Amino acid sequence: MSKKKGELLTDIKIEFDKVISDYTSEIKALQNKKTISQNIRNLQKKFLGKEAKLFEILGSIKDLKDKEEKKKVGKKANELRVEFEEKIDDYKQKATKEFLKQSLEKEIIDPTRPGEKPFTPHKHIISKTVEKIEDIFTNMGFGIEYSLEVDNAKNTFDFVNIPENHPARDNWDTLWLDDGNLAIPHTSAMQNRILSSSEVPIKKAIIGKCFRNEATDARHEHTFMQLEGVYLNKTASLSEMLGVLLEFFESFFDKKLKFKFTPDYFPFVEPGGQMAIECVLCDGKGCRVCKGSGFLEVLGCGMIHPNVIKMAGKDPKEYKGFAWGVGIERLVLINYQVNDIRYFYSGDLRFVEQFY
Amino acid sequence: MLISKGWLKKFIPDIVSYDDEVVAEKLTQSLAEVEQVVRVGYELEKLVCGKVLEVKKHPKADKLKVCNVDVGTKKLQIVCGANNVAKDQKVVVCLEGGSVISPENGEKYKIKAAKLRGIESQGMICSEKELGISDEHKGILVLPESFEIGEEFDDYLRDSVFEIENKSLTHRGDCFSHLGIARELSAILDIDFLAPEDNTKLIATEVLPAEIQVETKNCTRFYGVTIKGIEVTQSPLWLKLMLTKIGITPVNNIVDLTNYIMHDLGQPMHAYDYDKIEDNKLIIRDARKGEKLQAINHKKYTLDKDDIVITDAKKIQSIAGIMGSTTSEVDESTTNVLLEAAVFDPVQILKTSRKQGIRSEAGIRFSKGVDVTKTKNALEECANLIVEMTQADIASEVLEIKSEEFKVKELDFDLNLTEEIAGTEIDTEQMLIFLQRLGIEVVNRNEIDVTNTSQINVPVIAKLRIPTWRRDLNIPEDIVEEIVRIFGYNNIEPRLLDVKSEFNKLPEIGNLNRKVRANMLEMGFNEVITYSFISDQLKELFSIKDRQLVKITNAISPELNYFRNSLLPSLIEVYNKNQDNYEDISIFEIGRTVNNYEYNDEKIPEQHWKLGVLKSTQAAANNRKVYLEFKGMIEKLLEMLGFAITDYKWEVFKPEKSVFFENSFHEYRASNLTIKGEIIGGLGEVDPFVVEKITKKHVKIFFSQIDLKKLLEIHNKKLEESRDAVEVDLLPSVKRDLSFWIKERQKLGEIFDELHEMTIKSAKQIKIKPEIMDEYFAEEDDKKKKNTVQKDQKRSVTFSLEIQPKKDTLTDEEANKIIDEIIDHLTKKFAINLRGE
Repeated sequence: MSKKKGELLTDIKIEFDKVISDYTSEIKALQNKKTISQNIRNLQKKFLGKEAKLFEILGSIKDLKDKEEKKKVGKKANELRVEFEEKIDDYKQKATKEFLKQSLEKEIIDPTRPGEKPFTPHKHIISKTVEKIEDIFTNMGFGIEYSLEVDNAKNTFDFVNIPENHPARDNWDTLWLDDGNLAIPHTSAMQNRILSSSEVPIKKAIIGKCFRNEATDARHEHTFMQLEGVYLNKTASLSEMLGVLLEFFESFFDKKLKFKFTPDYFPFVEPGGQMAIECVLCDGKGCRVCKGSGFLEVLGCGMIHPNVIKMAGKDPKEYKGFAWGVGIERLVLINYQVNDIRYFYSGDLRFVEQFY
Repeated sequence: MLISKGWLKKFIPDIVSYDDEVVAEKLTQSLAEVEQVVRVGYELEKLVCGKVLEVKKHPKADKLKVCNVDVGTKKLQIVCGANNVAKDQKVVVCLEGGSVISPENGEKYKIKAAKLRGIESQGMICSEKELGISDEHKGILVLPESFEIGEEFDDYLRDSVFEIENKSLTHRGDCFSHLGIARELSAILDIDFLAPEDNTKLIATEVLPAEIQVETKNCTRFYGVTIKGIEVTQSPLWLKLMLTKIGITPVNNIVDLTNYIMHDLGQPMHAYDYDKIEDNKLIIRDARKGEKLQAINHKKYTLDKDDIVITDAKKIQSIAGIMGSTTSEVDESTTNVLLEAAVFDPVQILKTSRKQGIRSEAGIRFSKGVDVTKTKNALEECANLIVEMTQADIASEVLEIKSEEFKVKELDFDLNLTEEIAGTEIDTEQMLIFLQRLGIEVVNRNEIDVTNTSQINVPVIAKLRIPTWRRDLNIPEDIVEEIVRIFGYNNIEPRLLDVKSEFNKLPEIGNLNRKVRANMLEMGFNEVITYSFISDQLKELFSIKDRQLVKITNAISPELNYFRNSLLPSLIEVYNKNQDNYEDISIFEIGRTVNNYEYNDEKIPEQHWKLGVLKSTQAAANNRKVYLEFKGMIEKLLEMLGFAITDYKWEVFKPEKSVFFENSFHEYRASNLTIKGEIIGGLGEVDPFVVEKITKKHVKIFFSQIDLKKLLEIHNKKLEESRDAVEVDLLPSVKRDLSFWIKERQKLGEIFDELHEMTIKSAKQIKIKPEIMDEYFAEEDDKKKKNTVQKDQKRSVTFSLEIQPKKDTLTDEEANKIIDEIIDHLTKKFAINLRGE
C-alpha cells in the first residue's frame, strides 16, 4: 500500500509534467487569452483541486501507520504540491508574456513612417514682425501709433515740407482718390498730427500700410508696411539718432552690428541721411543679398526740418528732433530670405504656413 | 546720372591719382550714392594709330581692298571692306591678338591673322562701332592728322564712369554736371579745382540780325547769339568719345556741342536753325491753352496756358526749357544758327514736365535750378566752340534779357549749432575750412580767443556768403549738413538716448488687435494680411455700387481701382486663390476699411480697424452645424474679449452701410451683431450666387466681420459704467431640460431675451442661464402622431436651463415654482408648447 502511494505520486508527477509541457509547447500558437486561464484552471483542477489524486493522497496520509512512511509520503506529496503551484505560476507568466508579445507584434508601426502633424494656425509674418518691432520700441520707451491708410495732401506732403511744386513730390508715386484725399505713400503723413498734439519730449514709433502707384515685380510692391520714428526734445542730435537706430537693429536681429551712415535727401529732414547695417546673412563678408558690399541699406533718416516743427506749431529754435523711416518687408526679406515681395499680401496660405 | 572720370580731369586733374573705388566711396559718404562704377573700353585691346600707305584692289573680291598700313614698328598688310579707306589716312588698327566690339552682337571680338579670300590680313582697320564710339559702321574711323603713327589708341577709349543715384540729389541742381561733381570732389578730397574761365568775349565778325522778346515772368534770363556759316557735320572724335562714355548718342557737331555744354557746365542750351525763324525774332511767352507743337522726339504735344513757349512770328519753336520743335531743328542743311541759353522758372518747368510727361535732360536741370550767374558764360563758351569747330563767324552781339538781378545770399550762422545737431565734437577752425572748400565764403565772424576756455560756449556767429550755384542753402541747418558731410557722416558716434519713457505705450486698439489675433489663432484660424483695394473684378462679383466706394483716380492697374469698404471681398479673394490647394480654409484678417459715408473734420473718411473671419466647408450634409459652430466661435471670441452673451444680440440681417453690401449674404442665413442697438458687425453665409461664380466646388462659405474700433469704445464705456467683480457661484444651482414645440420661424433670440429679462426682474435673486441642448425639425408624419402639435409647429427645441440662486439655496419647491413660472411665461408670450403635454 505504502509503496503504491509512492509510485502513485511519481505517476502523478509524470502526468503533470507531460500536461504542462504540452501546454508550454503550445504557448506560441495561443490565439486567445482565455485559453491561458482555461489551461491554468485545468491544471489546478486536475492536480491541485479537490478531485485531484494528489489531494486524495494528501487526505489519506493521516491513515498511514508507519510513522516513517507517513513522514516520507507526506513530505513528497507536499513538495509536489508546491512544485505544481510554482510550475503553474511559471506557465501563467510565460504564457501571458508570450501572448502579450504576440499581440504587441500585431500592433507593429513602421518605425520609419513619418508622423501625422496636427493643424496649427499661423500668425502672419508681418504681424509677427510688427509685434516684435512694437515690443522693441516700447521697451526703449517709445509710444506706438498707427497711421491711416487714407489721408490728405496737407498731412502727407505740405506739413512735411513737400509743398505742391517741390520736385521731390515726383519721388512718391501717389495714388489719388476721388474724394480729394490720397493713399498714404509714407507714414510721415502722421508726423504733423503727432508733433502738434503731443507734449515734448515726444518719442513715437509709427506703423502703417503705405501705397505706391507702382507696377509690381519680385522686388516692387504697391503695398508695403512702414515703420517711422519721431523724436522731439529740447536737444537732439544725429548721435542720439544713430544710438536709437543701432539699438533697434541690434535688438531686432539679435546681434552686434556695424553700420554706415551716409548723406541722403528727404525734404522733411535736414541734415538727412541713410543708414546701412552690416549684412546679417554673411556677417559683412559680402554675399548675394548684400550684393557683395557687406552692408544692407535699411533706412532714411535725419534731423526733423525746422519747417516741419514750425508747421506743427512748435518753435524750431526751442526744439530739435529726428525722424526715420524703414520698410518692414525689407526687414522680413532679410531675416527670412523671402525671394519675392509679392508673397506677403497675396493671401497664399502656403506662404503664411511657412512661418512659426 | 553718369559722370566720366576722364571728363572730371578737366576741372580736378588730381583725380587721376585716386582709385575708382575710393572716388565712389567718398562720393557715397559725402554726397550721394554711387550705384556702380562702369569701366568702359577695357574690352578693347592692342589698338594703335596707323597710316594707310597704299590701297589696292583685292584680286578675288570687288568689295574688299588690300591695304598697306604703317603702324610705327612695322608695316602690315590688312584686308579692309570699307568704302572710305584711302591712301594717307590715319586710322585705328587693331593688331593681331587684340580685340574690338563685334558690330553684330556688341560683344568682345578677338582679332586673329587670317586669309580673306586668299589674301592674308594681319589686323583690322576699325569703324567707330567696333571701337564703341558710336553706331557708325558704314566706313572706318578716320583720325585727325594730329595723331602720331604708332600711338597707342586704347587709352582714348578707356574710362571709368560713375553712376550716381539721382534721387538724393533732388535739391542739388548744381551737381547735374561734371563741373558740379568736380567741385564737390575737390571739397571732399581736398584737391585743387580749376574753375572755368569767364573771360571768353564774343566778337561779331559777321552780321545776322535777331531780336528777342520776353513776355512771361517765368523766364528770368535769356541770352542769344547768331552764328553764320556753320557746316553741320559729325562731331570730332574727342567730342563723340566724351558723349558716348556718358551714354549720349552723338548726332551732329551742333547738337553734340549743346549737349556737351549741358553735361560740362550744367546749363542747358538750344540751337535754332536761324533761317527757319520767321522775321528773325524769338518771343518767349506763356502758351495759350490748346496750342500744339511737334517736338524733336516726334511726339505731338498740346499745351496748357501756364506752359512757357518760345515762338517766332508764326510758329512755336520750343517748349521752353524742355524740348525743341521740329520746325527749327538743326540738320545737315543748316548754315546759320541762333544759339540760346536761358533760365526758366523751376516750378513751372516741373509742372509742365509732369503734365506733358516729358523728362528731358534740360527739363531736369531747369526744374532743379541752374546757376544764373553762369548762363551767359555757357553761351559764350558754346558759341566759341562752334566757331572753332566749323570755322563759322559770330554774327551778333550777345542778345540779353534779364528780368531781375541775382542777389548773393548771406546767412548768419552759429558754428555751435553744428556740434549741437551732430552730437559729436568738430573743431571750429576745421568747420571753417570745410565751408571754404565748398566755396562758402566766411565774410566775417565774431572773434573769440580759442585759448580762453571761458569763451567756449559763446555763440560763434559767422556771416556766410552762399555761392551762386547753391540754391539749396537757405537755413543754418543746411550749413550744418554741409559741414557734417565733409566731416564725414560716418564719423558720428552713436549715443544712447536718456529720456523718460512714454506712458501708454501701445495704443488701446493695438492691444485689442493683439488679443483678437491671439484668440483667433487659438481657435484654429490662419491669419492673412491682404491688399486694401477692391479690383474691378471683385466689385462686379459683389455688385458693389460706385457710390459705396472711394475710387482711386490714377491707378496704373485695375487691381487698385477702389479702396475696400469691407474685408469680405479681400477674404473671398484669398479663398479663391487657395481653393485648389486646400480642402477647406479658416482664415481671418485684422485690417482697416475705408468707408465714404462718414468723414471727419479733416474730410478724411472713417477707417476703423475690422476683424474679418472666413470659413469654408465642403461638408454638405453637416453645413448647418458648421455654420452654428462658426457663430459659436465668434461668440467665444466676444466672451474672451469680455462680452457676455447678454451684452450683445444677434438680429435679423439688414444690409447696413457700415458693414456689408446688399448682396453679401444668403437670404436666410445672416445676422447683424448689435450692442445696445448699434450694429457693430455681422455674420452669415456668403451668398451662394456669389460663391457659385468663383468655384465649381460644392462649398459653403461663412463670413463674419466685427468693427473693432466700435467694440473697443463700447467695452471702455461698459467698464466706465460698472465693473463686475470676478466671482464664482458657490450655491448649488438647479438644472432642468425643457423641450418645446415651437414655430419654425420663431426667433430663439427673442426667447433668450425674455429669459434674460426674467433674470433682471428677479432683482438679481436668481440668474437664468439658458442653453440650447438639442434642436430638430419634425417630419410631417411625426407631427400627426403628436396631436398636440399645432399646425406650423414642426420644430423642437430643448433648452437646458440652469437656475443659479444668488442669495439662498433653492428648495425643490422653490425651483419647481420658478421653472413653472418660466414655462407659463414662455407659453403665454410665444406660440410654443411644452413637449409631452
